[in-house]
Amino acid sequence: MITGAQEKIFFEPKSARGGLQSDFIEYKDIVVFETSRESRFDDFCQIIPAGNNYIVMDYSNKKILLFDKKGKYLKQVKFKERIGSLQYNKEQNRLEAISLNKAYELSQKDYAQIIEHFDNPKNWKYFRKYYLDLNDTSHLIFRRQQINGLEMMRAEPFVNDLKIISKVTIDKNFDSQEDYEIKIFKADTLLKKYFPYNRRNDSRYIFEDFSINVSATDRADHKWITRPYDYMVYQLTPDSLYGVYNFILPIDRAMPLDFYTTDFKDKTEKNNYKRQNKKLISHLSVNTISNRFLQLRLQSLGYENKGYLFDAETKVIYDNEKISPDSLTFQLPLLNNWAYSDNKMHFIKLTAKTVLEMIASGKTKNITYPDKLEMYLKTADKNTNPVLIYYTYKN
Amino acid sequence: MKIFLFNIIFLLLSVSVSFAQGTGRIYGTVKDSTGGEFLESATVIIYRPDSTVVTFKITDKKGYFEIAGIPLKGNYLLAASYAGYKDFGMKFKMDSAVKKFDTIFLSVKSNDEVVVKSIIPIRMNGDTLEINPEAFKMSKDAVGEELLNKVPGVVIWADGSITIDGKPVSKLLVNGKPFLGSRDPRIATQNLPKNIIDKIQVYSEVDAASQQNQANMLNQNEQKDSLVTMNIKLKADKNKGVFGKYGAGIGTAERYQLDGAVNMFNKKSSLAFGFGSNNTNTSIANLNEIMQESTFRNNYSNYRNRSNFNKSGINRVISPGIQFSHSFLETESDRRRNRIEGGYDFNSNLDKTIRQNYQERYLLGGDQLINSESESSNSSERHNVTLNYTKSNRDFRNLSINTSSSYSSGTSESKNNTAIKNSQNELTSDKKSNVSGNNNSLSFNTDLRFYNSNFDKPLVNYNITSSFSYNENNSSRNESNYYNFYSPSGINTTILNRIIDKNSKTTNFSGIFSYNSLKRLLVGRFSLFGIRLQNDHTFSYRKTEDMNSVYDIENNGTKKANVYLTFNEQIATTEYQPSLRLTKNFYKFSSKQNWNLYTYLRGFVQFINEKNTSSKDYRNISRSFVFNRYDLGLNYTKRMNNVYSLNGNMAYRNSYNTPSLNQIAPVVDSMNLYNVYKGGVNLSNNETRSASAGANFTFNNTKKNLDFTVSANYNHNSILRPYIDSTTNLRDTITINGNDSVYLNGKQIRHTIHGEKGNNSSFGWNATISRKFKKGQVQFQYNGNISKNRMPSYIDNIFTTINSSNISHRANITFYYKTMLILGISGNLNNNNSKQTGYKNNSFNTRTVSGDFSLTINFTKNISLSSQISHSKNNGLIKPITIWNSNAAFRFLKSKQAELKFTATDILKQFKNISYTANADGFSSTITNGLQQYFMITISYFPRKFGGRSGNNTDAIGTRVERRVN
Repeated sequence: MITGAQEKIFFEPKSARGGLQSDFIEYKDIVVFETSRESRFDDFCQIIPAGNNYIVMDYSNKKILLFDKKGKYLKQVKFKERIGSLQYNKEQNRLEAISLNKAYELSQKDYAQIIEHFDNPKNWKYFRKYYLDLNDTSHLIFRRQQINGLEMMRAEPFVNDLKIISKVTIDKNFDSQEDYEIKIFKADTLLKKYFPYNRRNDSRYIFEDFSINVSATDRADHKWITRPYDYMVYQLTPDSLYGVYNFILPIDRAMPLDFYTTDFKDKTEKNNYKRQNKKLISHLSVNTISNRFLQLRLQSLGYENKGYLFDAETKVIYDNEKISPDSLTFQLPLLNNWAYSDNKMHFIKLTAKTVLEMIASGKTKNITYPDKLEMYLKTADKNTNPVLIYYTYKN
Repeated sequence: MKIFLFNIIFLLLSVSVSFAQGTGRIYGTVKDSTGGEFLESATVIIYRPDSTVVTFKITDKKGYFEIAGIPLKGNYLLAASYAGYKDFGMKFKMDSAVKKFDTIFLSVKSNDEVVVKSIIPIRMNGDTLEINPEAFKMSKDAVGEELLNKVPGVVIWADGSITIDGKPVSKLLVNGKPFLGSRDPRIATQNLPKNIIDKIQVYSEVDAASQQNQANMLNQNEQKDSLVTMNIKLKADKNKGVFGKYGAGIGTAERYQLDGAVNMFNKKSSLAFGFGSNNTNTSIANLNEIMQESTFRNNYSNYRNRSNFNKSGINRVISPGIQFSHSFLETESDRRRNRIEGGYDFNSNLDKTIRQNYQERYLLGGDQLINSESESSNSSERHNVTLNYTKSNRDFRNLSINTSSSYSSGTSESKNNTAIKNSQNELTSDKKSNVSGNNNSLSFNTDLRFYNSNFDKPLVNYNITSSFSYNENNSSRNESNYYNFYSPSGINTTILNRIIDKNSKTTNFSGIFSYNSLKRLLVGRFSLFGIRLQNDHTFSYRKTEDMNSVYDIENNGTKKANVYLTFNEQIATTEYQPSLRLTKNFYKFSSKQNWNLYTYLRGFVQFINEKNTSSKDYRNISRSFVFNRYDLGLNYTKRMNNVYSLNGNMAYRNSYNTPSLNQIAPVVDSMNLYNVYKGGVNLSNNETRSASAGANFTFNNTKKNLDFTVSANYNHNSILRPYIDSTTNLRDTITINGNDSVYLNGKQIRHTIHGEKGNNSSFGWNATISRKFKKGQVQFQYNGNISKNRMPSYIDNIFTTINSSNISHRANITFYYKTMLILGISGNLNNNNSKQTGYKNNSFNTRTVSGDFSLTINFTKNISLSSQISHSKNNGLIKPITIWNSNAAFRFLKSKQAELKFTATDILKQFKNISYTANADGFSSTITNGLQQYFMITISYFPRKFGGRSGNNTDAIGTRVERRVN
């Protein structure tokens, strides 16, 4: 079932290399968003290129702002927290959120029964999808939509209308005990399943609720798969799953063997274990960012999240924090403020506060800037909206 | 007095000014040296060069710490620690107002290495803050309370409450359980020696008792109230002990005082014996009170065992008791308990009271001046046994059974002489009476509560509460009254001698079944817009059996049964009350603040059936009632974390009262011709509607604490009122046993009538402001109350409205300088007004102003002196009264386990036990005998033994070198 010969990569995070940003990155452009009383948005926000627009999700003020491609403000719409976490659906150019239907009150057992029988249409009413259609910007309004079982399970689209369910839930109330971490569906038919686990009391995953990480490769019919407490990186195709890289971490950062056999009595005991072993790496994930580089991320039991660049050709690993901004990338901290990636174009959000600190530190002196960027640096003040800068990785 | 107050305020201000000095702030970040991750919950502590702790902070998610309030220009040591990492330390000088530290990197401990381990006073372990007593240098006889006083961020306030970083500690446990089964934290903190404490843990628990939490219990997403709990963990080899107190005192005026307590505990069980006896009007209510008064150390120790000068008469009390508790679990929490507790108390009281009462009544028929003198002695004995069992588990399943039983007996004797004069000072009537009797009573109560909440079985969430009680009272009274009524035609004499034997038995059973899953049953998983439904069924049955045997003693001494007053009867009352309760919670919470609005509406029907079976035909009445009732309200809470909390509530409800059988068909006993109660045949039910509102605002942090509470109540009712029918100088024959048309000579006949609508309202407030300085604290408390009452009534058949009002203010200020000096000043003002509208339009006013000044000086921890002066003035008394009490105490022996105390009470010999009150129809003043000046010497010994003979009693702070062995 799991095929392929994995490549062993020894990864000591503290020995990851450094370098200059310009060795890796090429600056492309800046998008300056109009700042007015109405269009001002908070630094705590997410900016996404969406079709012919940019959308800004301002979480502090619970509003979504719409700008055109040049950064001109168009309009805004308010949203309520209860609709859930919004995701951008590129295919349909809309923002979507799936959340529990507030018209129902579910016990833990109800919830387990519903997701165990997610293919039963009677259970679909307990969830709702809200969406904001960005194709028709003249009527920005949140609409509600019924969902099906695969959407309820947050299935991810794969090639040829295949869907991947990667949700892992442990609950003693499940009727059956066998489940799989990765399941591939075609319509309602289960085609493939990988990584069996005991959904009632798997000791690794108990008292947690998460999804296995599924991310894009440079081929549409391949996905990266990474799992908690496993440092192997897999690739998934419609027909197979195989290990690609087997990352070996130092003994003081890798999960000890006794973790996999410990029966945690309750959530508190597991949380205490996490607190006492904060630096252990719980999850290693990958993402294709260029033809040459993979973005590696390490998450620790203390929820510390750090980024690394993995050169797939030379197998050298670089620490994002050790890659310094330089004059060729205009001293911009491009690796630390990731906002969004679209294919191999990457966007960072830069706040006015960061820009002003940069200017105050003197780093911007003696640098020849592109016109748009120079104009922005000259006019930015503390009330200016954040900007979006985009770049690509060098091959 | 003004100059004196000014001096005190000046003294307080000057002390507070002397504390004010420049302080600075430091900040920095703690990281892991290997991966560079931020270390959350690392402990950063600032020490002085002498190793005493200045303050500490726990790092946040980003490993960041910021510590303010560090005195400038001092040299300090900064220590950072984190479980599993080597400790970090560096010296620094506080030479600027803000100081930034470079990132502090901690490295992981490796195996088998020699490490220098400093003793960390405070650290975070998961969600729990841990205080390590070894890090605090204190004397060997120090107790837990003194240790807590030294921990930065922990404040023991003047009113006994404990706060940590401004949050009040709501529960104190020892090894996870209430210490000695008591809820009073001082029994643990003032007794347990510091050197047997392994660590003190502080954590938050969900408040399972909160009404709002009970409503939210099944919804895991909703915000729940939490309680700060402090747990004292004892060293493993010191988890048992024996301690207590023996004390004896002898004084002038034949005063004495004895008290003693022995407490034993081990890992799971505790046993406590206590004994107290005195004739100094010092209250001993139960064993718990004896334990509270017998702690080893107490800042207020000189105020212990204080005589109550306001108590009437001289009271001799003897009270021994025993109490045990056993937990079947090693550690308990708010949701996990399995414990049995019980105890036995005995209380014997002997009371002798001499009372003089002078009353002025202002009546249309002529004023009355009533003088009476009485002398009474009462003796009583009470045995009380309790047994309680409670078990609860994490799934919110909770069972508790509480039982108590008591037997009491007593004898009483009293003599009374009364003379009534008219406004011309002519005697109109007099009375001599002798009463002697004995009584005994037995009572047994048990209640059972079972709560079942299960997340996985939403249809079976219910509560069952049931209780059963049985009470039996037997009394026998021999009463003789000798009346003379004077009129121009001569003297009429009435002599009444009776023996009255009464036996009464009451059996009561009640049960409540609350079904909390009604919504799930009716609408399944539908949320019903967040509205919760609760269905309650309350059932009760009460049976009362009375047997009254009354005999008249004829002039020739023969005993003759009184046919009218001798009767038997049985009253059986059955009540059923189904109710539906709708609640909805609106809430919003974030990391910084949260608010919650809890609303409820309850509608219910009260079905009451009462059946009376009496040997008197006219009392054979059976009645049934159906009342529709409602209860609605809201509760609003807003909390800004570590800044303030605000709580407001409003409620509106109705209730019904039914006249009792004794009100509508009384058996009129005219033994006391001065006060004959005749009832009212045409009484009907009445409804009371009440509105109430209250608000509480609390602001607190480590230095300041402000608490402000207001509450208001308004009741509107048409209520059953007695009215007073009083006439003078009319004399007729008295037909005993309840016929009509009785005109008494200057006396009262009381009926109950169905009055006009009345109302009462009250508004109260309470403010506490506390401020902690570097070495002291000051607490100011002010509370007051305004109440108004409008009561429709009849006097001499004339309708009148009695409007009464009361205003009271009380303010006190307590100042501590370390634990060396405690200064308290308090003032009280109480004003009562009563006005009749319709009868004579009289108005009566009484006003009392009083003040207290107290000073305690603890010269050392073992020598103290305290004094208290109380001054009070009443507009009805000619001379103000000043009482000065003082005492001095000295602790001796090497272990300070012995105490010698000298007490002097009422040094100025001014005390008189006088009360002066306004009534509906005049004034009355009462003088009783009471405690007078006495001096007493008391010697006490505090036996203490904890754990085995050996033990680590390290008190010094410092570092030690140890080899880690794996």
